[in-house]
Amino acid sequence: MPGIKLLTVDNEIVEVDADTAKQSLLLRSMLHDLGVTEIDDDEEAISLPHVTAAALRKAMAWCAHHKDDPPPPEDDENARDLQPQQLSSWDAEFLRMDQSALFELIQAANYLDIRGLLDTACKAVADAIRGRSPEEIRKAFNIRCDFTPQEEEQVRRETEWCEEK
Amino acid sequence: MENILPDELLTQILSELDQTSLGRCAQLSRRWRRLATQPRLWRKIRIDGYRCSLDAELMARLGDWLGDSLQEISIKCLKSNDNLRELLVRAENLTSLSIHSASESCCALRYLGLCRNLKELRVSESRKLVTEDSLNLLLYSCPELSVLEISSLDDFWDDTNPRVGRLFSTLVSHLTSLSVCFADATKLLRDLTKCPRLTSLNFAFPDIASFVRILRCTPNLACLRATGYNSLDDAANLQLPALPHLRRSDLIFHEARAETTMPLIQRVPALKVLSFCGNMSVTDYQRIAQKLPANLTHLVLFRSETDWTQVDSLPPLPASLRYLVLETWGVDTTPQLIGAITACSALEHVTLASSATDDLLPALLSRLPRLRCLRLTDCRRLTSQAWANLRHLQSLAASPLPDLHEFRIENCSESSLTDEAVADLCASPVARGLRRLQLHSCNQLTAASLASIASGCPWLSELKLLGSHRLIRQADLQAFHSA
Repeated sequence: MPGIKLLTVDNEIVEVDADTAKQSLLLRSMLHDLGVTEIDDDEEAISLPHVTAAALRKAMAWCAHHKDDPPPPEDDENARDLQPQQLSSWDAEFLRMDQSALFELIQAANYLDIRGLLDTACKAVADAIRGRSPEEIRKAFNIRCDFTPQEEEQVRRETEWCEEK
Repeated sequence: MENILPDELLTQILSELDQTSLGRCAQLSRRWRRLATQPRLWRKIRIDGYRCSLDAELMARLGDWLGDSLQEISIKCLKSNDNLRELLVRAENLTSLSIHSASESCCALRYLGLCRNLKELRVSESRKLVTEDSLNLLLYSCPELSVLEISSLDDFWDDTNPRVGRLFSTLVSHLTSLSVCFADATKLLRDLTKCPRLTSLNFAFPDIASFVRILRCTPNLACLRATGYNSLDDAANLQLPALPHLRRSDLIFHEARAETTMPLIQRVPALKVLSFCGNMSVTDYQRIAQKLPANLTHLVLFRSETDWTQVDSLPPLPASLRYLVLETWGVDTTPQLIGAITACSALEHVTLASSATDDLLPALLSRLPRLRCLRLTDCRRLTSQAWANLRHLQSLAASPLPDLHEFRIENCSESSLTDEAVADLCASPVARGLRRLQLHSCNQLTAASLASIASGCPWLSELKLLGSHRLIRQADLQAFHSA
């Protein structure tokens, strides 16, 4: 498989497989515009101003694993009695990383326009929020509460009706 | 997180959340409140009169906040003094309204005139809510209405009134989807004429004549769900109208005899779901299983005492089957039954109430690569060997092991469900992906089991230990929960 060179924001040159890279709609259109087909030592690396090398490698690893996935099924009535779609264990395991790395990956997926990875990573963060109390969420995500005690009490009362469990 | 992710991405994460979690996110900080209360995240809301007072203040506040964005409202336990009007008058783009257990005097449907864009109405367990007036309102004030679901005849004010029957039939002729799945629904549909728009229908029928009469009115049906309530002795003479667009049908029978149900099973096209409630003899099972359509995805047997040991062979199940529930109590699973189940490699859900034997567990888990949910209801006969076998699944499996998300084990003998058994289970390769684990008869378990579960099932989101688990201290459970 031909490879391409990408220059990341932390000034590293990462070589990636062109076919895998094409799951990123951004890279796909860049490659198309530049007419890049194969690696050439003289070719300058394509610069990615918003992506770190670690996040890029991670994103490409996700794309490599998912490159043969069938397209998502359209509204499947037969699925209605089955469990709602959850992350596969492979994805859950893959996304087990510290929060700042996960958020970097979300930003990279967004910038590179890799829809599947962005959705999956956002679901993983949502899974970490679901079922927890506000205090537990603040602790897990290191969020500082900047409400005054009165405001906090008011917003608590205003959202009381949302509670279903 | 607060500084790293831009609003747009944080909003995408929030859009994956349910209403309870969104409400909690709004309590975190000012930025989170601003993002979590964006009306576009609240197009569907559920409000419950048991949990909070549905007073005019709350209704008006929801209406002012969400207004035009609101598309779906689901309300439980509406009382007479709850002011639904305050909400509906502000929700101009409302397309879907569901009302569950409203009190008899609340008259919630009198505000339907405010819902000019209503497309879907669902009513359940709300005595006498649907009146002649509300049917008139639906007909003349809600021109877009296309989906109607009513859960029982009790929801009607006066179903014997001939005007109600006629109004209801006229209304149905405008709909694309109707669900009236109660035993005497066909009485209400006695005046039904041609409904060419109706593509989805869920109804119950007392006899074959009513079944055929209704289907003659619905030539363009695409999805059919029909429940047969009584004995269907007249089924042999079934003359089914042509239903050329039917692409999915579900049949549910409240009797389990092959003789009377076979004519429907064989003649209703595009059968995907087949469900029986009631005792089915093993010979009837054989007759039915032999003739199952090739594209069946769901097969369900409820409340049966099918004795698998009476026969030497069972016909294969359709290869397309994804969901199998055999709530057949009392006798052991047999090698023939295990063979028939494990030959269906597309199965994603298996519930089995026949007594599980030690070879059942490894057989299901090593031969069904797509299995997501396994529920075994009668595990009295499992010995420690069954659990020990789970450690070595990899060597048994010809295909990849399933990514199992739910595992439920009921009625174990207390002596077999030990800490060692749980340790075996959690050391098994199929434990790693578990999201929900439910174990019954946990008398023997100690904190050691919790430790096994914590290390073996990193993605677990729901753990239920039923029966007395007196050896596990409350403090240990709490520590487990917070981890």
